Amino acid sequence: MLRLKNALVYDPTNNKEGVKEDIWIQDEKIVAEPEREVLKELKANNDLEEIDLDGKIVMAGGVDIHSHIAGPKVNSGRVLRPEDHRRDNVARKGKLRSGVGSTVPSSYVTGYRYSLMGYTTVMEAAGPPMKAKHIHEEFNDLPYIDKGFLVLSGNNYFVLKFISENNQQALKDYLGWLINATGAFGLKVVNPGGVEAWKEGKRMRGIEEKGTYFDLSPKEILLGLAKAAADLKLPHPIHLHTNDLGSAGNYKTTINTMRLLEDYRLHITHIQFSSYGKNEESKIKFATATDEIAAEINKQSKLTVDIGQLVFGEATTMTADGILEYNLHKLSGNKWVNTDVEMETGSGIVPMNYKKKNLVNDIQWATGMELFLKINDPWQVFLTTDHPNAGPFTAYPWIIKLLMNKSYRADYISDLHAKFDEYTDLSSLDREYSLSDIAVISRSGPAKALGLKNKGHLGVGADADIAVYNNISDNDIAEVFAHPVYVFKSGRMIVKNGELLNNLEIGRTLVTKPDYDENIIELIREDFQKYYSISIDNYSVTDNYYDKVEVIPCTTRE
Amino acid sequence: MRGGGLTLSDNTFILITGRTIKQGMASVSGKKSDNYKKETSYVEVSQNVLDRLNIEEGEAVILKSEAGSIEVICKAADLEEDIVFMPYGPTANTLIGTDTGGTGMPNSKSNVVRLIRKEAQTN
Amino acid sequence: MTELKTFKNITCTFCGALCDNIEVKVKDNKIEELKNACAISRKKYEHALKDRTVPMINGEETTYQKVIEKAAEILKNSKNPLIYGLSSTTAEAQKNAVKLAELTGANIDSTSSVCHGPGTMAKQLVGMVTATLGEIKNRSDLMVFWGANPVEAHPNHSKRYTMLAEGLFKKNRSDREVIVFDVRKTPTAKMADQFIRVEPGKDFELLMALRMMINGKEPESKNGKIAGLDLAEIEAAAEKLKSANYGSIFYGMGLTMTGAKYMNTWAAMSLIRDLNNDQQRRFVMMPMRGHGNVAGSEITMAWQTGYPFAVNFSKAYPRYNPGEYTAVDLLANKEVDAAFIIASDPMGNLPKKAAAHLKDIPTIILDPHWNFTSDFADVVIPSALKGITASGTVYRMDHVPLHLRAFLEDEWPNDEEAVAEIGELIENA
Repeated sequence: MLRLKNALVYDPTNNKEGVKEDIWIQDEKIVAEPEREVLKELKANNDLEEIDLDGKIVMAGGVDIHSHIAGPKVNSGRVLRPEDHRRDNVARKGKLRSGVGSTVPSSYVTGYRYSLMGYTTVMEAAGPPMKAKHIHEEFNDLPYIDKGFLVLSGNNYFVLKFISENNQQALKDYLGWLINATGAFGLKVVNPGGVEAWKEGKRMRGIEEKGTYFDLSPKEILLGLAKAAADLKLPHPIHLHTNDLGSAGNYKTTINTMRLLEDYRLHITHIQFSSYGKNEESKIKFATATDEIAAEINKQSKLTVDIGQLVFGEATTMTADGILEYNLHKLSGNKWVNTDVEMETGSGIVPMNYKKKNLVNDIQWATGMELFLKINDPWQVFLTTDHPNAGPFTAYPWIIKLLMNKSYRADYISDLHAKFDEYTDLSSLDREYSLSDIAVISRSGPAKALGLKNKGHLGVGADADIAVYNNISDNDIAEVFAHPVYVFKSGRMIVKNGELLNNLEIGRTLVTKPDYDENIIELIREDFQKYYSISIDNYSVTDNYYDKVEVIPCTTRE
Repeated sequence: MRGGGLTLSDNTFILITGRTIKQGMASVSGKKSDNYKKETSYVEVSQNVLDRLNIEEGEAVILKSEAGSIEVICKAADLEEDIVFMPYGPTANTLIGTDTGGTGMPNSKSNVVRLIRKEAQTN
Repeated sequence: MTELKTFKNITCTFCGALCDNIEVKVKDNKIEELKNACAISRKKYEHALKDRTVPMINGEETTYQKVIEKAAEILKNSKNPLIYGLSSTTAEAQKNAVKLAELTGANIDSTSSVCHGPGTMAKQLVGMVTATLGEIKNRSDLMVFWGANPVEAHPNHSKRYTMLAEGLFKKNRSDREVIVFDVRKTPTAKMADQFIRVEPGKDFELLMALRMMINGKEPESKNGKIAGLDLAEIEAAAEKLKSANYGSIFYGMGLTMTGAKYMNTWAAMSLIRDLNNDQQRRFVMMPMRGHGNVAGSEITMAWQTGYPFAVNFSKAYPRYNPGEYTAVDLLANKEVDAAFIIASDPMGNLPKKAAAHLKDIPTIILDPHWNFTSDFADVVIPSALKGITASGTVYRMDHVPLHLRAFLEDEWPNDEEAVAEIGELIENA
């Protein structure tokens, strides 16, 4: 048993804001304080380890709800960017494997850097079902963190087919099978209909216009998928990358989407990219539309979003949104990777560099920051950079500082384009996030949205994933969050005084196993065998790919 | 011209090395076998070139490059007159040099070779 | 075990097409019947259990444990070892090989460097627009083969994925137009609607001329020809490309091994990008990867090191430099003092003078079959046959992963285990 004494606990899930108490850990879980007799026996047998935290800040390990960390797209991004790696070398140290950074780190370095920041659970944002085995192979080389992935579904042949046939039952069974077959955690939806249309060289706009071989509108696809996710009782709702992402004026599509699905649970990801207004009169067509978007989110309590906050500097954009990446390539002239995945989805990768003196980049940066400050309930808004699209995850501590300290924010803004205040209203926003707010947006909120009952909090029964930080009164906020003093994963110390200990271990893969009618396999077999290029009998991820798995139950939500 | 030193003239050609289905089949049926040696130790030459150089199909010829020289039998094939073709294998690899130009890739399809009748050597 | 047992959807691992529809009937640990295998695949299965290697040190047969120990000893004592090959083994073994290279401060390279490496290098410069094979099967109305000859190198490729495959929108051969660019009229060219003969070593010029024409510019030429073609012929080809709806270009060694090498593939990838640029059509590229799991070697190396091949660990972190850490250069410059060859035959496949260095240094080979390298290697480690007596993961030319199943039994451990054991011996020494 491990006792962390004198922890200053910030656990919003359990309504604790700076409560000084001890945390008891046994068998990878947080447990209740043992009875006096038990305590005496443990001490007598030398079975009680005690660490005095001396009033340091303690939160649950961070939970990143959306990050591109493993799989074919990420790996293609690694190959694409040798220049990005050469400036950031990580040498082997004892059992700790070597690797490289920086915007698309190698697998071991990814695990190290999340851990060093006190993050212990990360959801891989998007995986193509056909290549799921690759994701799981990489997961086995991704140390410490618990992880899962969201399987791409919004441009899938069978999904579109069943929706066009109004066969909601088959759709539900197919998605249930897909999640089981690929070892996924939940459903990802990217530019529904749009990625399929791009394979025909076409572009779809808004959510009403019909398109693709199945003559469907994104609206129909979204409704079908949202209902199926609810029927499957998935712990996390559909995780949506909106239509028209990245385009000036796209906030209208985003609001229409939010209203369309207001009766369902919904999570919109990297919503910063979906919150742009359009100023026809200005030379810079881009504008922020954060008032409109925040207002809608504030009206819909079931809706959760993650920001996808821009970070100035190098980034590598990578998404299943093939046409978006094509447009980024044309805009920037940078090298461009595109992979269409048969029957399922697409992907694209384009390196980008966001500049402080570039007004459009400033507007994008402001959009994310304004959303953080205009969305009232921190339980609805989560901290992400859509790593590595808007920026690297290692920038989180600095975003936290920007949110907590308005004079730092003002200083930061003074470095940007001279016309910044003409195009944004960020300078007028005084709100400062509290430590509790930060705990919500970086762990408690995402854990709850993901339906992970044992993550994101420090109550009895929680996984003992814990981050211990220095106080923020005498220390720089960013430094505090960048260098936790201790990090525990599954009850074992993995970071001490900002260094990884030499006990390399691999965390768990989080999956769900929704119920479905197995007959669906026979229903899709004929089309599958004809139009895929592999056999349906070779499609599923077999048991040998899983090392440590935790099945998160699919139950009706209270 | 790649391959350095030799320039294209009457009896110099670009050597193309590549797969043949029989070479592929032989490579998985035991590289020790005579069949493998047979399927990797010949050179295909245009019939016009053979006529011009007075070489009969099936005769032994010498191929010489900057990296080395080998003896193989020749076969007539429907090829342009500026190239000769050999299947991949250790025989062909004797002719390919190690200069990769900093790319890691040797000149496996861009070497220049000179082709001489074996008989001519002894004259 | 005298019952006849059927195994369906077996994946053949010979070439990058990784056909997964092989059917095998097995009795008494022997293959009795084989369906759907191409001529090369059939030979591979028929011969699989023959010509097997046995544990050997300096030409003398010994025990498995001894060769593992000897290999560990050689690598541990080496100052600058080379681990090479990898393209014909499983991803699990490749993973362990990278770990071993890191442990021993070695150079690690796959046969990619003498095969499709130049394509990857071009991708690092300009990117790559591609698709999975089924996408091409379903949609492509114009199929171009440039310096590739699948009829002889990937015999079932056309039937399963291209010209002859039944796709969603394209049903048969007549739904597709096929053009072959090559220096000779290969059997693939004979199946095409049009064969365009490229002057050897001039692919770069031709590709750039096409790019110019696609972009509305006029290339100049002193004698009215580029790469042996009249400007009018090139113009016609450019028009053909522009008239496609979803074009595909399959490229092979004709681009990677000739003349400008990675600049050829750079030009081809730039052409594809240009063809996508006006949104009037889609165009994709596909490297016709020769070995069954060479794509896998780049993939596993990339997720662990960030780089696809030609990696060096002498500074305890991965460094990448084709031309310096590629096998041919390391061997030709005699920079390595030991070699661990995994599932490959450099003596047979590399330029002679490069391979010759292997004879001057302690060489270990891990391979199930006798080959020109095992003939002289100091240490020979036998292994199980992936996809036949051992399972594992392999990656197709379009990076689709497939799981191999074993259907026969073998006396030897597989590559994954052998490499792991060698690593453990060195780590725990």
